[in-house]
Amino acid sequence: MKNWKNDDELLNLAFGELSDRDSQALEAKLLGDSSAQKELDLLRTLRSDMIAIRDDIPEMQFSKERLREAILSSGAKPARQSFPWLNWVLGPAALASVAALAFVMTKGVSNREPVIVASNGKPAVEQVIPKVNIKAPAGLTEERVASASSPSTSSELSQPSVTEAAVRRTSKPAKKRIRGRASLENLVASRSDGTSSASTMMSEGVKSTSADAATMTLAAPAGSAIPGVVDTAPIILIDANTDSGAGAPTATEVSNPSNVAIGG
Amino acid sequence: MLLSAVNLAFAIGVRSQFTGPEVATINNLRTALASVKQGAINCGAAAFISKDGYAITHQLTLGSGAKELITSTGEKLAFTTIHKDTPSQLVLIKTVMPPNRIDIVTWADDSDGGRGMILAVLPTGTVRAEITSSERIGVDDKSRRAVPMNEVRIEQTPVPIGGALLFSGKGRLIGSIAATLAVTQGVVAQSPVQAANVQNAQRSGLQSSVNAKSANMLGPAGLVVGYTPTWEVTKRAVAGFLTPGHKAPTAMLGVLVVNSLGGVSVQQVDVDSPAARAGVMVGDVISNIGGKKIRDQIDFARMTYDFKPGDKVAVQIQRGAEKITLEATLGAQSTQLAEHQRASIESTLGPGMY
Repeated sequence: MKNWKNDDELLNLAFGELSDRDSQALEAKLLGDSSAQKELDLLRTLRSDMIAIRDDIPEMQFSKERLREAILSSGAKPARQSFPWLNWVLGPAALASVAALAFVMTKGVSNREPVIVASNGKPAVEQVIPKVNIKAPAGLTEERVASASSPSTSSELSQPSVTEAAVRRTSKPAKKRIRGRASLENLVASRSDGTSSASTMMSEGVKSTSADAATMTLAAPAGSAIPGVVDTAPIILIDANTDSGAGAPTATEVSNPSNVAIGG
Repeated sequence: MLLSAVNLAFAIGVRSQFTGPEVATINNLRTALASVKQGAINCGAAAFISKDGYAITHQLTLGSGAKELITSTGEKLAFTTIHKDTPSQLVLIKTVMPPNRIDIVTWADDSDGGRGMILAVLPTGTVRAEITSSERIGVDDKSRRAVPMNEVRIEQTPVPIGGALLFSGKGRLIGSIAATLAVTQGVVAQSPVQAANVQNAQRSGLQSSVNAKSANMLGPAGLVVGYTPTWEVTKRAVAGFLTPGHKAPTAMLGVLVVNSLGGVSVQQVDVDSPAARAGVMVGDVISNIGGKKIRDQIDFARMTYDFKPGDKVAVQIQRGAEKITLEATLGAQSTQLAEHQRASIESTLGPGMY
């Protein structure tokens, strides 16, 4: 049972807007009420926080009216009614749903049969894999590209999903946290990973079905100075000119970091 | 009642744009910061690094000739410039009189996290920012010096953000805004209303700078992409500032390189540089310096931070079919010298090269 008339009374007490006599009387009334004490403490903390950031709030607005406006404008709502018995119903139901879903997924995957590729080298179901530009690693010649795209004569199991995943991985290498010296180490490591992953991908591409391999473009992209270098760290070229608005030199992100000369 | 109180707290948070911990961090930082003033104009912030009056600020903050600091207690102090660290772009200044009642800043480390929300101290106060990438390498167009950088997104403000000091959520120094991405690349996020305002401003002949655009905007502010040297670069600079010589020199071989198969290809050898004295020639491919493998120009850039001026290093090069090892004594980078040596870079490099 509440020992105070309404929330406003508590608010007035917390914000020191009651007379001393009224404050003492209300505090005496609330002594045994732990919930009221909690709310009072919360409001007082709020009050002290507001005082702490007084620099940001004009003194004239620092009042109970402002507090009330803020409460009303932010859509004060009654406390949500709780239904403890509902947990007993929803909990088991949710568990059962998850278990059923997991069962269906695992069963579905294990029952999936491989697609047999016809002897002409094309998969039974034609798969279209997005065309991806991949920089050719050093040593990969046009002849090898040609052999990669030549039709296979033996029956093979097609694994379009694996190849596609490899393509995605290569086109956007996993990023690692890079910081300063250590970061540069990581950066180089990630770069090496990117290169090897590209190489792996290329070999996977060669091994995979001819239909998959044929869709890939293995030439180095135009403008790349050094074929075989996988760039993972964008280079920011910082201009001498200063942007008058931002007050800082302007920077341009170079799309092909290999082409940037570095002094040292 | 409790819900209302929570709503109120949210409303206050939105009003002041900071969370409770952020407010606490800002309050804790105040005594370690000072305003850099030129007359009545607030040019930016400086952070004390020692109790006897050594402080750091960004070179852009001092660009207008500011000579006075005002501490959080209102104390006015004249200062002198001691040294500028080129990679971090931080400047060491010292107050003429020791300040009273100040604290010193601490620097960020690995525990501050690579990405996430940070605080940027501008001339007009503090705004929120966010580190969105820690994988950038900044290259100064003139001197060609490379610096590991973080990409930062920062709220558009009506004041310049260049030189703003950046602090982690724990209130530790990360770096400062050293550059912003060119607007022509469409990096300023704009709502349709903001875009319309910009167009109107341009039609009426107003200056179309990033911050002028935000003056009359409605709705959430746009974002500007900025770049800051990483906390390691900043920490290295501040540690150097605190030495008796007040410097943190960076090693230099004296060459300009681009990526090549097996290492980096030398495009230019600076006159009278350590490389020239060691016998490095244009066209050589450097594959190892001081036992550190050089696979690309990023490795080469790292080398300049791994060694100190005066270190003797073995430089492995491939010259035609020949493998040669030369010995070089690394020198100290000098901005003026580097800019002078790189002046002819445009004509030296081939098409498509930067």
